[in-house]
Amino acid sequence: MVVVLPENHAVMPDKLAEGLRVNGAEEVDVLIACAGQPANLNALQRCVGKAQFLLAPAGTSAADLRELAMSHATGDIVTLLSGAVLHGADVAERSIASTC
Amino acid sequence: MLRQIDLSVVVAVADGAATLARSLQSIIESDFREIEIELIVVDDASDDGSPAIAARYADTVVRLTSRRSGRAYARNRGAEIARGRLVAFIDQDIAVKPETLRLMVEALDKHPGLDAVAATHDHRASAGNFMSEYWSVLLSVGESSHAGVGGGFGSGCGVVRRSSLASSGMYDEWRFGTGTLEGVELGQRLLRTGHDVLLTRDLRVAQLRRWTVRAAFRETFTRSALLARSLGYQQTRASSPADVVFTLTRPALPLVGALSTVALLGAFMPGRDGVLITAVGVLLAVIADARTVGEIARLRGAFFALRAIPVHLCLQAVSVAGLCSGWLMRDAVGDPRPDAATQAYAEVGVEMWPPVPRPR
Repeated sequence: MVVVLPENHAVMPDKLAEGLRVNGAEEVDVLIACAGQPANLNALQRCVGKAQFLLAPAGTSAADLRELAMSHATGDIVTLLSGAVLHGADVAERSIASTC
Repeated sequence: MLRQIDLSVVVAVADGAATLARSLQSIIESDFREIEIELIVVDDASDDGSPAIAARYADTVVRLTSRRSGRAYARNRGAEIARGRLVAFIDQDIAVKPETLRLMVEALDKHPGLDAVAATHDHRASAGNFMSEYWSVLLSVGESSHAGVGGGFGSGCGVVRRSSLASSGMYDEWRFGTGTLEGVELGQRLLRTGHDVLLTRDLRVAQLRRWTVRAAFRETFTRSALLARSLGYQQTRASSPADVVFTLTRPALPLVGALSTVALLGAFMPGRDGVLITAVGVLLAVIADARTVGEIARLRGAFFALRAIPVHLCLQAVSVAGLCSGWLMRDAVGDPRPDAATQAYAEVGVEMWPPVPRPR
């Protein structure tokens, strides 16, 4: 499973972990692709410990992030999620100035 | 909470990098309104970077990495992971119009007795060269002449109820490894098992692939051979030859094929006799297939139809050669089967995913 976090979007770590849990991600490899380094990277890593983080340069588009993440994904079935989809844009996603 | 999906769009791709992005773009730009969709791309062992392109658009990308198994097999794997109550199958070289998929879903919702809807090809191609234009107009004329309930599911874009697909046994991945007639066969099986299939000329999709003379002849030969060998020419309903070679009925096909062959042979004969034979052969073949030539002229003009006649006649001759080849293969070898290793795995019944191709 690939979670794509484009630039200027943030996902609250606990919401991301919960979103992955309800999407059945406990038994799958999770790859989180971010454009730029998230301000809350440490918190994300704590909450979604098994996930592999892929940090692309700031400004990388969502489509490019998806393509990049696809090249790192190893499974036969790769599900690509936008961070906003996991728990609704109003809760999980906040637009901020300079972090993903 | 998992989203409730109305429509799962499955695109099987094999080395489709040239057209895949435009095809997927047309799908995600569709006007779905309230319809929730998921886009699943199943990559059948491509080595041209198709999975990376798919990742830019799709919700799920399935990679079948071991070896190429055919469109029927790939579509079945997509259908297995689909969550929608309806499943759309779209070819890698097809662009849908913004309203096409929504109207197909609405047709199925409005008519509970209907189990599958297929769109027909637009007579205009995207590629722009003459062969692509001719191929598109041929598909359009052939499919339009058989449109209606019972018209078949063999076009490049169709939507089927997931329950009907499952109950009819899904695509025949055992016999259709080459990926040409699996949709025709599924459509016939759906009809045989009491499911209604609508091929509608009101909904059109566009071909994106750039066709060459060689590719068109090869496709026609393969389809015709597979029709005779695998579908069983005599067992199929009367319009099936038209599904395959697009325009001709069962009695007209051998006639036009024979006349085209005579015309071709005449072209290699020296002297005025050869010219005369060719002229008479061409004239009779055109008269025998006047309805198609007339339709081409109506859609694209007389000049286009005149340009198309030589290619059209050659295509019918190729089709007859393919049918004869299929008959011979059927009598000499029998129905197509996967290789010995696949048959052995299937016999043992090894449980794995993706599975080995399974007989129906």
